[in-house]
Amino acid sequence: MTRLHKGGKGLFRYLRISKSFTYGVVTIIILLILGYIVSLFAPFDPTRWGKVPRDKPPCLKYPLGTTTVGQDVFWLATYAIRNSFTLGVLTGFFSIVIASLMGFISGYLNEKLAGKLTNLVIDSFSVIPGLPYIMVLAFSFKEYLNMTLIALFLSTIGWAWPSKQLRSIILEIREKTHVYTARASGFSLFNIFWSEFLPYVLSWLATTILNLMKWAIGMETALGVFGLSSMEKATIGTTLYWAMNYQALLRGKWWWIGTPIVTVILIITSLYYISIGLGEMLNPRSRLAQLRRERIQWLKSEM
Amino acid sequence: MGRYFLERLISVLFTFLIGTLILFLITRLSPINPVETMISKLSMMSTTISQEQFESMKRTLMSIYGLDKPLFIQYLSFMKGLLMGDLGPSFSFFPTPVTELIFRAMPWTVGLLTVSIVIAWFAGNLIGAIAGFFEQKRFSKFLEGFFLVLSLVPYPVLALTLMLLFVFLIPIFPYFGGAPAGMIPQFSLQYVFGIIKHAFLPALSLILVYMGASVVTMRALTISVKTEDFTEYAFLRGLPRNHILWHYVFRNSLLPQITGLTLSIGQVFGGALITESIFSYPGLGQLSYYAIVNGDYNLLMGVTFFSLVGICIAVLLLDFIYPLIDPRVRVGG
Repeated sequence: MTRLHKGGKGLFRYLRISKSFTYGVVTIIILLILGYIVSLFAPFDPTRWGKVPRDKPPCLKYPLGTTTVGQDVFWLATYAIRNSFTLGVLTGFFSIVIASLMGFISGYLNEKLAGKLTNLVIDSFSVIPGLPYIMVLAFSFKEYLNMTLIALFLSTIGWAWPSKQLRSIILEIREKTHVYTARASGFSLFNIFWSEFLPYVLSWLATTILNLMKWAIGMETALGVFGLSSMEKATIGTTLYWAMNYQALLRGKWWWIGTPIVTVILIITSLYYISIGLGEMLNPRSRLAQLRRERIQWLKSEM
Repeated sequence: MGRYFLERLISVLFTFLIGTLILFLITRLSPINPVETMISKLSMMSTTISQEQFESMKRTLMSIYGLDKPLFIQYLSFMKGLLMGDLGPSFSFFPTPVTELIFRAMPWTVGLLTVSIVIAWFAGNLIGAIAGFFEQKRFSKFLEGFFLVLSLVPYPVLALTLMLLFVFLIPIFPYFGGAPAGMIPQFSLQYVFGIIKHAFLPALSLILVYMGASVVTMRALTISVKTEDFTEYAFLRGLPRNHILWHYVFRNSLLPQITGLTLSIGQVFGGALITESIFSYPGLGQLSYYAIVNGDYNLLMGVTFFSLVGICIAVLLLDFIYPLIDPRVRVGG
């Protein structure tokens, strides 16, 4: 039997062919289980101080050690994973909604005044320096910060680049004949978007949401290092902040600072590999290349 | 042709105007009243101030700073000052003008960032092209993995790791500052060497991140150019591999990378906020962090204004040079 014949359908076949995609999916699933299911079984609120002995290195009872203020790093990490994913998904969602709306309007109504104005707004937001902007927002609303608010703040600027991309995609598609037909048949704007544009936009959508999640988690880490994240929640940024505040590495408490670093690298690399894999899977041209690769493998195995 | 440039110019100008307006509104959101901060600093130094004195001082300072007027008028006066090259006084270093503070910090940032970006761009693209051209080789896969992880690690994490490695564990680089402390700026070998030594770690962290991104994108671009018909034809003609790599593949893959270079150079004037705070480097990024924490809107507005100008000029430049370097770009499209 050859690989081609044995292989399943669609996603599962792809899972087996691309190793990096498999790595991404498996890691994400493990992290999601840790963040959303395992964290429910935490014996106590891991953000509270003084619940466990201080500065214990990793051992059987505390798999990832404990912090100087008496927190269990393992349970802290599960909470941080959950918060980071929540933040990423919320930012991805909010940003993509704004980006799709603005990008679609500016691309579809390119010649009209409304389209030109929308494009101007998109351009203005995409030249604003992001980090100072978000830091000012976070600093101004420091007392009220939570994951949703940070996600909203990030989305007010995160939508700009994606909507620029969407605009150029739409500009290309709208010249196709079937769009003209739909328009001439009197389809509504929403219907045109839904049935004529979305199929083309889908792969962009998938990769962009993942990229936005990646960006949001990275930004939260940056905010956390400045102490501008939601301080009483357990996130990757705040864990790093407290670890730095107590000079964890200088004092040789590598498990405290190492855990958030490894976690964030795992999250971001797996999101990256999934976005690359999805992009390839949804892109007809690279699907062809994939078929060709499989064919070569098949030929080789026949020989 | 002329009309295209004019249109682009006008649209960038409007972009700039809206951008400043948004930034202006956002900076005024800050709950910190710079006047109250200043008075409380003063009262710490001198004896107690009575309530009436406090109120009258506050009123005087508010009117000096122009903060008692409505937002719209404040914006207009900001724009008026802008036209005359005056960004107003800094609130926390009163009465030093914002422009003076910025020009003092600018050489540090611009020097550090320009050098790192240019080095990273050249090295990254060379490595990326070679790795992409020999994509099946093991070293290519290793290079991709290495630089991919570099580009994906959140920047503060990378910077902190470098700092811990080379400042604390193996102390070969200084802890903070941009130049040796207590040394008079002069053009001597020792001083220049001191500057390089101080800039080395921040530069290294920036180079690694930028390089990571450019290696990964360049590798992907090279792979896609390699499969195009004209490259395949060159292979069939039996041209030497080196020739194909540098003359057929490299030059064609470089084009999109120029956009990245121009945009990053445009962002130089914003300073590298995280780098400069972590390494305590005396540049624009640290200035803006200081401004954010102290509610010094004028200073923050000044720094972000320069970064906005930098990016707008970069965008405009791109529009202008693209038709020159790439004949395929249709003008007016």
